[in-house]
Amino acid sequence: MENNKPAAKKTYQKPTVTRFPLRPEEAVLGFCKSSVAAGPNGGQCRNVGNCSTPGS
Amino acid sequence: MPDTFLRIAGITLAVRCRDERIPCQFSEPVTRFIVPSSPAEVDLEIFHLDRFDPPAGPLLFESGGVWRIYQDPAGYRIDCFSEVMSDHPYNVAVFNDDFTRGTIRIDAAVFGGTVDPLAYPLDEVLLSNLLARGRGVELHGCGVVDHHGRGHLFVGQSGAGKSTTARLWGDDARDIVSDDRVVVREEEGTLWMYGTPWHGEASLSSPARAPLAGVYLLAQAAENELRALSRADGIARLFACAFPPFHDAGAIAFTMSMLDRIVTRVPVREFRFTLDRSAIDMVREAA
Repeated sequence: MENNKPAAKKTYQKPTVTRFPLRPEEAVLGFCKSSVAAGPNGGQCRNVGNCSTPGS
Repeated sequence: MPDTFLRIAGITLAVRCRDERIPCQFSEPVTRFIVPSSPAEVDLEIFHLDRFDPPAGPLLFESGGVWRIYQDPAGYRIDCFSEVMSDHPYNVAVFNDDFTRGTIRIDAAVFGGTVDPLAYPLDEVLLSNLLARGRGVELHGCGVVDHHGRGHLFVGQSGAGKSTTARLWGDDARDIVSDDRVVVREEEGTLWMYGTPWHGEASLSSPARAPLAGVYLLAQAAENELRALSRADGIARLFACAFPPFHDAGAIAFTMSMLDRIVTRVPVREFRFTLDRSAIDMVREAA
């Protein structure tokens, strides 16, 4: 015999927005990693654009 | 230079340097990823960049300085730039649609000696695109393998403490697969943590892999604490430390699904930690 009782409604929870920092220059590999061979400079990074951010 | 075969995160790449004008040479730690000649998923031919032809397709993504990707009649084209030659790229790489075949043209003169044919950023941009086509995800993290063979992945942006974590493990680690870049893939129902040649300040890198046992999102604090995260928070925070190809909606969707699998299958927690050994003891006890 089927149970025709309606399922209990879930309590409404208002959506919330949580922001997490994304560092674009890191996420897009758009910076120079000082600890790896980076471009035509043997890892020194000084010759590659936007190379001021450490890589780790 | 004979053909070189690299295996990074389980993906075998054949790098064929047959142009005598390009003195190809891989350096440490990439050489640790060289494997004997074997069937390759990715085939790359290296040539000298004789002349610069403007891109034939529209710009898809601009990294902000060091590389750009364009649509190309063959598939995709990636140009890499240096301040040495600001007027045109030192490296033009053209790939097919799934990045499994590529021709990389390099201006060897800019290198002033031997040439790393997959110098950063091309190496990681290529891997990012390969992984996002159903293979896995690269994370900004430190991968530790303990003496039970379990993989512990400590994730965080620059300055979070990845290299410090690697050093603190010391002899309690069987291996550190990288202190900066770690790949996670699912193979035969298991999530695997793979090392990469790309390391951080501790210069730790290994081609090893281990089953992923847990993920720890690093946050430096006055006291050690492991905090559970909701599924949504875990995915969001991992996404902020991932390297997906942002120009490709399908690739982003796959990356999100991969992060969801990680959060669903292994404990993903915030790791508030002090910069001393007691933090490592807490992880070992919790594992």
